[in-house]
Order: sequence, then structure tokens, then C-alpha cells
Amino acid sequence: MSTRTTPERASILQGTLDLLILRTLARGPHHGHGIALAIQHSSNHALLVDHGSLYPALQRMESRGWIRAEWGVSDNNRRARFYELTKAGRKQLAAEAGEWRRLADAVSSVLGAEFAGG
Amino acid sequence: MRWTFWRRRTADDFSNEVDAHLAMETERLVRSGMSPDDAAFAARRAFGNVTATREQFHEARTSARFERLVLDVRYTLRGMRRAPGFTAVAVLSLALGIGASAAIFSTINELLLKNLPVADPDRLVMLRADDTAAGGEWGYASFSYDLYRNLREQARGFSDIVAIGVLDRFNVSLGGPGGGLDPARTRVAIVSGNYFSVLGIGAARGRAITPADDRVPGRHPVAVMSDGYRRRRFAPSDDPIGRTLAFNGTTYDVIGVMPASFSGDWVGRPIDIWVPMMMEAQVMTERPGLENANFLRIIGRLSPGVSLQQAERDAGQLVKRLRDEKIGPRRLSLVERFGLAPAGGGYSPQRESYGTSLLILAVAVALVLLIACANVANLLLARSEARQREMALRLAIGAGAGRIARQVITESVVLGVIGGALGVLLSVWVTGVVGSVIGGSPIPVDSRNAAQPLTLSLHPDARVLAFAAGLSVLTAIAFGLAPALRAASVSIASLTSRGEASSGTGRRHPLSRLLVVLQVALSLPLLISAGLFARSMHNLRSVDLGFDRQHTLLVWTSPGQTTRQGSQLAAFAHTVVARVSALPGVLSASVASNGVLTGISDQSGGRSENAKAEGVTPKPGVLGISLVVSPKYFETLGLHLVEGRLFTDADGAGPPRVAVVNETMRRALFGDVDPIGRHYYLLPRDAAAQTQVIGVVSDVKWGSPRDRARMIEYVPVSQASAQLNNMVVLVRAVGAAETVASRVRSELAAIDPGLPVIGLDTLEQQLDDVLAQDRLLAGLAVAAGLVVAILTCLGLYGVISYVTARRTREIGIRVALGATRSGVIAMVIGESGKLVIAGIVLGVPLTLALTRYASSRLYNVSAGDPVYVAAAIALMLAVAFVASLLPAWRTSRVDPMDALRAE
Repeated sequence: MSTRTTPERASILQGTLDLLILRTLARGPHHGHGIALAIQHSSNHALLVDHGSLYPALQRMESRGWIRAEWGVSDNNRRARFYELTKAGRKQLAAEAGEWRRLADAVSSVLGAEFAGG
Repeated sequence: MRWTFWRRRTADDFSNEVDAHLAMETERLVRSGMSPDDAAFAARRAFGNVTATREQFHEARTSARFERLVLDVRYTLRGMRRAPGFTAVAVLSLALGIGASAAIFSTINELLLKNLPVADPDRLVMLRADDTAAGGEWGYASFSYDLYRNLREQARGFSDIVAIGVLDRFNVSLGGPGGGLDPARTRVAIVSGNYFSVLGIGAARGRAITPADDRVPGRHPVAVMSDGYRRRRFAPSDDPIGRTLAFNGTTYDVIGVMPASFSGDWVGRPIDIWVPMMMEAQVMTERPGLENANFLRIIGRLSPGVSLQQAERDAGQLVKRLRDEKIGPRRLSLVERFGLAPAGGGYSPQRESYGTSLLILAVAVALVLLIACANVANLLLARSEARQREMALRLAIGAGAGRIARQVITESVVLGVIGGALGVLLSVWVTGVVGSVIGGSPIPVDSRNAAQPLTLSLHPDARVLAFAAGLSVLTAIAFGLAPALRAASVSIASLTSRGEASSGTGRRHPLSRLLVVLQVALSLPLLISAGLFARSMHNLRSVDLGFDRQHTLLVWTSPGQTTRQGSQLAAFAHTVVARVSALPGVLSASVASNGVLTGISDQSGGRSENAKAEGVTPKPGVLGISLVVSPKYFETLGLHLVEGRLFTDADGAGPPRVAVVNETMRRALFGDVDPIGRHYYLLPRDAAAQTQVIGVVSDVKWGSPRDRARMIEYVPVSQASAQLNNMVVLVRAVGAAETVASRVRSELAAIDPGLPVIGLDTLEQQLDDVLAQDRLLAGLAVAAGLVVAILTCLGLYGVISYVTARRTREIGIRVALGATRSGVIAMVIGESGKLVIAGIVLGVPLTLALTRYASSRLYNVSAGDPVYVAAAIALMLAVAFVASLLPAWRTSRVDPMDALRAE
């Protein structure tokens, strides 16, 4: 799988893509393209979702039972596969979000005040 | 296939989703001002490698793993079709190994492992009298009703104790529609009222016998039938409950049917009908009265927390005390020790007598299986060498080492599974043979159960199938591991170096050589025991039994079940002898209270130390048999008179009691004194009425060819007719015994159509039955020997031809330098000779260690007999010679120019 890095935008850390997808779907059902755009928007275009790795990730999460999918029609009348969070997915989101915050706090405290807001 | 359809649909589904994404992204970019072409390109670029994504989707699916497996299996099957010789040898080796193991396992399972379908079988124990000191083969388990009652009242450590006795009846008739007389054997069990509740088995229909059905003698005519009997006598739709069964003048109400899984607690003797113990006198009319019921087995359920040893100590002392108070069958006076045996697996004298043989066979089949595995491993190794280029090529076009190893393991597992499946089929057949041999072996003829084959349900159950499946996978791993590891270590470099044709001496394959050495070492014990058991069998067959076995027919009957008693039995015997003797083709006929070659140690004559002889002190330690015979008995069996005279019709019912004795008895009782005219008794109970010796006849091997010398007293029919309840008619034919069989049978039916004829055998058949175990061991040992000889031959052939093919260049150089053709042949044969000799050096000590355990089943041949060791070694060397002939010949044809050019 190619990992493209764009200089001005951070690519998504391995393993955080799941968390971002879950968070996005917590707001309501979305198709894959919509999920990618939503992540970009809500991160103020700081995060770039690699379209190529999005779908395998969705596939994986679906087979783990965190999300379920159904074909439907998009806003501009296109057939698209819509994903929505399952109960297990919500639990997973809570767990992963907590994990992420702990990690972020830990990294921040290592960096200390002088590198804050780098 | 369904899964393929399903996979395609979801793969398409995934593609559609990706396409939808690309379209949406393109649309978005167009909206933001890009040209459609640029937008489509940008959308694709943002997505990255679409094909790789699809592939990733594919790999992630679990079905893909399955799909890979199917591919591997298909590839394997294709490979097998391309190498039919290899496949056939490998599959056949495995089928033989697994089949033999599964067959022996299912026999062991049936005889040694299976539990009765009762509640908590581990807590059931059975009372046994240990008479091994008195020369019996196993402890017998027959006791009296009195002993049972006292034991039940006084024994501690049991939550309850039950009693059961089994009798064969031949006149059971069924009342109501579709009923009538069933002349076939019906096995009737009389059980104490608590039998079913203590064992913990309920009826499938109706109800079981309860203690309330077992209170007053003769007043509880109720019966429970087995499912097998129900199926034999009733249509599936008929309800047997409420119908009646009648035999020996009593009519019983059918109150229940047992589940199909339970047919009594005697392994191989399914019960047809159970009735309450209190009906004993009505069931056993020939010798009525519970005080005479000396044939009951006693089964107890241990109280919680009580160990078998504790209960055994208590019960043993109690039974001894009861015995001393004259409670229990008289023969208990000879018993040294009483014990308890686990009864959860059911009662099975065969279990003990066949235990050793089955263990010997289990070791033998384990060796066969190991040899088969070594063989297949070797074949696979040789094949994987030959396939190195193929593997390297697959590696070069992108298969991972793990993928290749997986492919090779798949190949072994497929081989294992096919071999295992064939093996199970084979085992069904082998088990049938084993079962018929074990089942056909003779059973004691006593006052209630006639000689009869066992009914063993030797069909593969879940346990056996699980065993075979587990074995297939285990063997697949065992023989597939080395080739898999080797395949995984193949390097692409071997593609360019033209294989390893130049690698020289073949010393590079220590594993193949080690496997051949191992095969030879393991084969040796099997070959040697094949010789030993075959010799032993031959010895047993050629023993001089002391009587003529060619022309004699035995008919087992039970006049006791025809309401005749006492002198009526003597008169009946007289009629039978007279009428059968008059038949055409019959030289002479007689009757006796027991046959010969029953395989059972008859105890009816006590022991010499308890006997008394007029004017002499008997020599101790010789067992005796007491037989009631008609005057022509000696002539019919071909015994000859040594001293004195035989019976005449003048030896009537009144005194003096007279007997003819055999030579062993004469020596044991009278030593050097002339016995004719002297008095003696064998059992102290006869002290009041002593017997006079009138003649001495030659010895016979009475029970089996293995018998030690026994004292036998022959008493005339007129003086002990009561013992003719069971009567064996002996017929000596002019020609082969079979020729008169049907004539004798119809004559007996003409004399009394109601006479139960239990069995009809020639002495040859009886001998076969007595030697069943030896036949089984000899037959299977020889078969195993043949199989391993063939397997070893194939294994050697494979390795030698492979190794020599590898040395083509070296041999070419040798020939170019002047080596002769015979020199080359000698070199190749020497190569395999070295392997075989190494195997023999390992195998001989192994054999001596193993065959020692077989010595108890050998007859007149020692386990370490050098003749058989030498013969096996010679055979192994011959096998090596044959196996290397073809490769040697092929090598000797090598043209040095070709060999060198091939480089």
C-alpha cells in the first residue's frame, strides 16, 4: 500500500483511522466518500484521509461488527454504500477515544511547556 | 459451488463501492472547477492503487483463506494424478497403517474401554473369586443366592448390591397376534428387584422391574424385554407392553422395554428378557429353588467416598467368613482370595483372556504405522528433492517461503486424509475378521449357558472415528514436517545451478537414510514375531491331543430342559446312543456330560490333595475333572485302554460305584501301586460312597492343546445320570465328520422335537475355536510381517534409486576410469546393504526387548529363538537385495560420456 505524504497536511497515524471513522459515524450514517470529506472538514483540513486505505478499513470494521452497511442513495442522487455505527461500534469508539486521550496527554507531558503549540 | 458465487458478488459489491467513490470525488472536483478528465485522473490518484485495494479487500476476507486452501488442495490432487505410482504407494501405506490401528483400537475400545450406559459406571464393582492358584484362567464370578443375601445385609461400603443370573431358554412363546413359539435361544436374566435402580437404567417404554416385583417366590410373573428382542418378535408399530410371554409353563406380563443402548451387563451376551429373581424356580425348572442358584453374579455400587480397596478388604473377609459358615457354593472351599473388580465396563471374561493379545497387537500395529509414516516421509523427501526446481520457480515468481511450506503441508494432509479414509474402510473389514475370531471363541459350557459365540458390536463408533481422524492428522504432520521444512528452505539459486546434480556422494541426505534404517529396525520385531506366532500356531495344531480329531462330531444338547429327570435322563441317553449309532456312516456314538476342547478349565474333579486313595497318599497339585460317559465313549474318541477293563452294561445304577481313570490320575493318586480294584474319592463330599477303579485309559489334552496333564475320572451314565442335564453327543463317522452332521441332527429331532440342540461342531472346528486367539495373533502377525516387508522394500527402493541417480556423474567418472559394470552393481547393492545392516544392528536388541512380552502367548518356541531372528535378518537382507537390484542395474548402464555431458 502506498503511503503518500503531502507536505502541508499530516497523514493519518496508523491505527487512528478506525477511531476517526467511528467518531464520524457517531454523528450519523455516511458513505465512504462522505466519511473522508467529513474527517477533512472537521480537522480543518489538517488531516488527509487516504482514499485507498479507507475502504479496506471500512471492510475490516464491518467484519468486526463495529459498523454495518447498506446501499442507499446519496444527496446528489448517487447509489452509495452507507455505513452506520453498531452498539459494539459505540463501545469501541469510547474505548479507543479514551486510549487516544491518554496517549495524547502522555505525549504532551513529555514534550513539556516549551514545545507547546510548536 | 455456493461459496464461489457468494465471493464474486461481494467482490463486485466492493468494486461498485469504489466506483461510486471515484464518481463522487470526480464530481466534487469538477464542481470546484476542474475539467472532467483532470478530475477523474485526480480522483484516481487520490485513491492510490485501486487494484491493490481490491486485492487487499480480497485477502482480508476469511473466504480467501478457504479459497487458498481449495487451490492448494486442487494443486495437490493434480500433482497426485501426475504421479500415480507415488500416490498409490503413499496412500496405501497410510491406509494400511491407519486401518490396522483403527481396527485394533475399535476392538480394544469394545472389549476394554467402553462403559455400560449406566449411571456412574466407575462406582460399580463385581465380586470375584480368585482361583488362579487352583489353575483357573480368571477368577470366576458365580455365587449363590444365600451368599448374595448375606452379603447385601452385612457388607459395609456399598450403597446397594444386586444379583443377576443368566440362563438360556428355548421354548419362549409370545401370546397374542403374531405370537407363537420361538424355538431359537432366548437369553433370560433373573435379577434382584433393585437391579435396574442400582444400575441407574430406566425403561424406554413401560417400566423396569422394581423391588416390589421381587418379594414372594413364584408370585411375580412380570418381564422386561430388550429392544433387540422387541425388534425380533414385534412389528415396529406393535406395543409389547401388556402382551404376554410364556415359557416352562409360566406366563409373564410384559411390563417394559429397555432402551436399545442397554442389553445387559455381560459384554457380548445380549439379554432378551429380564424377570424377577423370585421367579427362579419357574425359569429354571430343571433344577428349581433359589437354594440351588449357584450361578449368580453379584454387583455392588460403592458408597460415596469408599474406595474399591476399602470395600474389597471388608467384602473379602466377609465372604471368607460366610464361606466358612457353609454359605455359598461348595466350590468356594477351594478359593484362596475374594476380590472386587470394576464392573462399569460390564462382565467380560474375554477382557482378561484377550488383554495380552490385544496389547501385543496394539504394539504391532503401532510399529506398522510408524513404518508406514517413515515410508511416506521418505517418498515425500525424495519427491521434494525432485521438485526443487519447481519450488524454486514458484519462489522466483513471487510465492513466499511460508506459502510454499503451506502447500507442502497441504499435500501431506491430503495424503493423510485419503489414507485415513481408506484406512477406516479397511478397519471395518479387519474389525469384522477380528470380531468373528474373538466372538467365535468358545464359552464355558455349564448347567445354564451353552457354548455359543459372542455377539460383539464391533462397528466404528464416534470414539473410533475420532481416533482414526486424529491419527491421520498426526501421521500427516509426522511425515510431512521434514519435507515442508526442506521446501521452505529452497533458494532461488538452485534454479541456476542446474539442480544439485553435481553435489556428489549422496551423503547429503542423512534424513532419508536414517528413515530407512529406522524402518528396518522397526520391521525386524514384526518379522520375527510373525515367525514365532506362526510356529507357535503350528505347534499347537500338531500337538497330540490323545484323541482322533478327524472324524468326530460333537452335538451340544440340553435334555434338562425337556422335563426329564434322574433315571429318565439315563434312559434318554441310552435311546440317543442306540439310535444315533444305527445311522448310516456312523462308526460309534456315545454321550457325555461335557465335550472336549472347550478351552475352559473344568473344576469338577477338585484337586489331588483333597482326594483320597486306598492305601496311598496322593501326590498334591494335580487338578481333576469328573465326566459322566456312556460305555462307547472311549471307542468313539479313540482313547485306548492301558490296564483293567472298560464299562459294560453290567455296571448298573447300584453299587459298587466304578470308574475308569486316566494315566495322570493313576500316577497322581496311586503312584506305582496297581490301581485296579482299589477305592478312592476325588471330592471329600463323596467320602461316604467311594469309587472303585476298574480300568486305566490313555491321557488326553482335554480343554485345549495348552492343557497341563489333568486327572480325569470317567463315571458311567447309569451311576450319575443327574449330571446329564446338559449332554454332549459324540459321533465318530466313517468319513469326514461333516458328512453325518445333518443326519444326526434330524435323528435327534425325531427322538424328541423339543430337545434343545445348542450347537453342533466337528472336533476340528472346536480346535479352531479353542485356538482362536492364537489364530488371530498368528494371522495378524504374518499379515503385519508381509506388509512391513513390502513397505521396507519400497522405502529402500526409493532411497537407493534416488541416491544412485544423484551419483550418476560420479559413477560415470568411475566407469570412465575403468570400473566394471559388476563393480558398479556391487557398489549400489553394498550401499543398501549398509543401511539394512545398520537397521538390523538396531533392530535385534529392540526385538529381544519386545518379544519377551509375547512369550506368554507362545507355545513350545522361545521368544528369542535364534532360528527366527536369523530368518528375519535373512529376509531383510533379501528385501534389501531385491530393492536395490533395479537401481543397480540402471546405474550400471550409465554411459560415462552422457553422464559427464549432462553436467
